[in-house]
Amino acid sequence: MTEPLVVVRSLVKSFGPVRAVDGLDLTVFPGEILGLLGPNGAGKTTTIRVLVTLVAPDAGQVTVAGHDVSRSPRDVRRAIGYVRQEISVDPYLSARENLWVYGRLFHIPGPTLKSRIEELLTLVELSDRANERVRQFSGGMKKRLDIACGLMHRPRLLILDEPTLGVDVQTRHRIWDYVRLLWEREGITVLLATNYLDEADRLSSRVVIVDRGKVVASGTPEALKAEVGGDVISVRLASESSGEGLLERLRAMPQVGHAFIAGGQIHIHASHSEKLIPEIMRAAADLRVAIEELAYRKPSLDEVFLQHTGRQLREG
Amino acid sequence: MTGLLIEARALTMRWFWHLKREPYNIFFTLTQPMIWLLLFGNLFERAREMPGFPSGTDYLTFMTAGVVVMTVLGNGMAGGIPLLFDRENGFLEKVLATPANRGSILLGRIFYIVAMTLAQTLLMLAVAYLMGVRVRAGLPGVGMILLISLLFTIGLAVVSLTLAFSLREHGSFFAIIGVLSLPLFFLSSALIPLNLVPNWMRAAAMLNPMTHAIDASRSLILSGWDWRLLGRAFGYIAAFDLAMFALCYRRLTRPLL
Repeated sequence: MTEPLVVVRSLVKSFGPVRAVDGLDLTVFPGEILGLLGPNGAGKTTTIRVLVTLVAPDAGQVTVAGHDVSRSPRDVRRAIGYVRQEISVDPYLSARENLWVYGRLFHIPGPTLKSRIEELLTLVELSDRANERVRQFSGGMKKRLDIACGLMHRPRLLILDEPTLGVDVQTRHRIWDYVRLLWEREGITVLLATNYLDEADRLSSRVVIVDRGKVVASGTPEALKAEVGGDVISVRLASESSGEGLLERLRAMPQVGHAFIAGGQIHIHASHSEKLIPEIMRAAADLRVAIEELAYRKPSLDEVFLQHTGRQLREG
Repeated sequence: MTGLLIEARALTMRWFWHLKREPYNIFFTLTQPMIWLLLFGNLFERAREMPGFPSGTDYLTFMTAGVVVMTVLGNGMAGGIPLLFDRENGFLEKVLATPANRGSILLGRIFYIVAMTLAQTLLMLAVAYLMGVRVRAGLPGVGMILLISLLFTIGLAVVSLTLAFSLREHGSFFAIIGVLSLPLFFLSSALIPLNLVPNWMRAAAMLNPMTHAIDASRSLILSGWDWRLLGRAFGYIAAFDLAMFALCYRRLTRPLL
């Protein structure tokens, strides 16, 4: 396998009494879109801030493109394009001026910079608004400009921290499209931190799930979901109180991998749902409980998270 | 070094672009010193009748150097304010995640403040000229006043920027700037000659680099070239600038976020 672009070994970072990152390991290989998935407060942003050299690690080794973040931070910064979670473009400048200032901080010479700016404005579809003051832009437009800034110096690694937090659905899909496009066209490596399951699922070639400052699982989205085992069946009963009895019966069935009650429904992980569903119906009929709704689907990363942490990624 | 200058120039451009989009800011930045000149000049018109006031001088001519240096003080001390906002809206963090030397943040801001201060000083001297104030040392004297303003504004800007790098709360920043500015202004020769103030105030004022910037500028306006005063002014201002740079350097070598 090729040399990894990012290597994080046993990273620890505390803020006062809080251990934000607690022995995290992470490897990013060139050419992949790595999704760092976890709930708020799992340590994603802290890990990223260590990677972009804004925060010094308490312990552990962190190298980016072969450079140690503590020993040669400037080399690390040259290799990285960093797009912060919050919008951080200068509202008083135009889109073009924002890109110009940012490009000059990387010493991109005049003529090259000019063509690069036009190229990026086209990519993020802001060419026709390039000379307008950014303050007048919508949130989605500002975010796209922010991403364009991050791509300015053709970094080897693009780090996106929650790129679609707080943007509308349409912008979300557009941002996903850009990331895909960049990945296909420029072969850029992407590290994407997110707490959106579908974002991690749709975009990543590999997902690392973090919780409480540690990695709890990693693999391709497909492999992770396959680990859950087959399908997920959820059963809603007419009266919630009668769920316990049915649950017990279900747990006794050999095809059932894992069954539990959450959110007023019984969730069942099973390898062959087509065979199991008639049995569930029969058991419910035996126990005289009425099934109001029965659905089955392929497992999502939520089930993966649930299986590894015992909690749902998004409570409520 | 050239890298640092490329980065600082880009960040200086950014401040000028800000200014371009804030026409009110330009207007008030330029008119404020004129208002000072008018108000102070007239308010203390009869001060020259006091015993001990330089004879044959009208108060406006006496006051011009004071208003010039006071404007330099205001400009320099306000220099760090935009950085407070940069820290808040994430722009600072974005710059810190680039390979740019962090000194460029300081330098870019200083270039801009120096340019603004020189423009204001020149404008004030022009307005004073229209009001009848003549610089005894002539045009080279005007050049010398500009040089004094330039050197003094750098040290003040560095104080303000160091505070902006160090303080998280806007309130504390403005409180400290206020507390620093007042004694710098009142414990100086800005408003009246020091032979008219109590001894302890004079002693304090003599330690204030502002006094020396004013005295040297004032002598250029009132009486021509006084190399002893000029030498002392450059000595004090240089010492002040170097001390502030040393303080700021210490701050910049530590984490900024």
